[in-house]
Amino acid sequence: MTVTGSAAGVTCRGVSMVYRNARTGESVAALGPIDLDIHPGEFLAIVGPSGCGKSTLLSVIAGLVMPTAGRLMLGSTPITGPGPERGVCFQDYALFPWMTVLDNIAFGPKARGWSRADREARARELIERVGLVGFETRYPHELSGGMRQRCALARVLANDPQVLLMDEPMAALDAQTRQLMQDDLLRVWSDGTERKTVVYVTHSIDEAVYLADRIVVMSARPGIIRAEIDNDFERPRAEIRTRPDYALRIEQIWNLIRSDALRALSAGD
Amino acid sequence: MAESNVASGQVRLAVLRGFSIPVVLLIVWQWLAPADASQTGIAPTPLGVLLGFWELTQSGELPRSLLQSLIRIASGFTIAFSLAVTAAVLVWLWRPVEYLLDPLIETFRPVAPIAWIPLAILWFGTGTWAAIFIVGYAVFFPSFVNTLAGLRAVDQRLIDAARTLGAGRWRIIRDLIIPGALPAIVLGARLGIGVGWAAIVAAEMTVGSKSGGGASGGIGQMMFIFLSYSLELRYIIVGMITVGIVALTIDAGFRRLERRLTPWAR
Repeated sequence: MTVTGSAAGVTCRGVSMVYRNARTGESVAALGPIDLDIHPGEFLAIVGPSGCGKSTLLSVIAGLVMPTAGRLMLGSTPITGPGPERGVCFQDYALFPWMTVLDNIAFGPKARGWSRADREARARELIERVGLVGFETRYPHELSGGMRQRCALARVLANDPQVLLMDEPMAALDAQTRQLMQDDLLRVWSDGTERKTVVYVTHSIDEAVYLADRIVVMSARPGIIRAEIDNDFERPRAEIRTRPDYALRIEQIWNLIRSDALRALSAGD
Repeated sequence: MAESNVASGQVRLAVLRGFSIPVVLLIVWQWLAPADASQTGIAPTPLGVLLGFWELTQSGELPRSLLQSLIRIASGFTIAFSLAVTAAVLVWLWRPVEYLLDPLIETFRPVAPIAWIPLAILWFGTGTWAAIFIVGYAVFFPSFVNTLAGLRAVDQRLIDAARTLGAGRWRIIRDLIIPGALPAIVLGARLGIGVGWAAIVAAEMTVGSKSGGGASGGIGQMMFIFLSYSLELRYIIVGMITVGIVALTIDAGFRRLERRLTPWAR
């Protein structure tokens, strides 16, 4: 029954994505080829200018999109489609509007055939972990942005996935909430017995440096990996934002992206 | 608490406002109508109509006709709505079915239900089955079109989310597609039954004219009989008002159902 559980790594070999423009018949290389090893239990951030294919890469790992070429493995198992061992947090949360917080969070276990008692117990455990106690019977539209974010995180964690795939999960939050949620995420990530593998796509360099163990910098057209940076600040990191080496790290990554970002800006996307 | 009091106060005010114009019209009507003690003329007064309501209820004619029409609309609706939902699901599941059905549906959709009355009478006689056919025809198209739109409107991202959480095809249909499409399906049913009710009255009137009154009943025919045999205008007005009240009640019922079935949308 449990396909999920301990953290696992992800291997990408020559992963690429080519779209064919239906009108002109032209082929557009959107992504890759990408070679990437994501280690078990690491917090990996992917940053890059808009249009670099970082969200596409995440969808490919999630199994929602099939790559045009290349191989993907979760541990030693080939990835052929979506599955509960790779949980996804979507940018706009994608909570089910007709389900309460409790039912949203219990959905994964329900889909995997758990009994009502078991899945509700599991959901309540997660509700406690992410701090949503008292909101069990609310519908998503009755929640604030930060609470929706927590609900989405709890829904994914209820499946106890091996890998957590997060696609700009904080992009819709205001700056203060975002900072609080980042700390929340790190707390939830590190409070278990074992850390999950996290792949975190963001356009915010600051966020990547604050959260990640390692940062992959991508460039646009085609979306390829430009640099992999070991982001070895010690944890917990609550105090690092004021440190000069933190600012330097951000500057270093920004320099890698700047020319691409400028090009994206003048290209109008 | 205070908030809900304010809200219900506003609702009451809106209801009051909605009733003000009809009430004024009724007073003007009563005042302008010629004083005719027999109440059989071509310009009955509101009080005469009220009396007519009482008389027709007493004689059992109004309840009987109304029940007959309600049974017809309920049967026609049930049959046509089931067919419409089934057809919409098939089209949604297999796109080729759409290529087969679409020309047919788009050809017949603009044909008004009452245009079918001659054929319906030929095929089904002048009784209940002809009326059910007309109602069913009226109900089918709004139900089909809205159900299909509802099924197609379910957000692909939600389906993606469910798939990454481990949900299979049936789980997705049961927990995502059905609740996601439900508001549109109920809307289709509400629009359909509204058109169906309007059509049944027209159908019963013409069916009545063909059979010369008699056994087939229904509220439309009741009205027609008063026109052709006794010219009891106030009874006809009683029929019109009843038709309106029933339409309003059915619509309110469906709105209620809609809110009950979609508590997340409030």
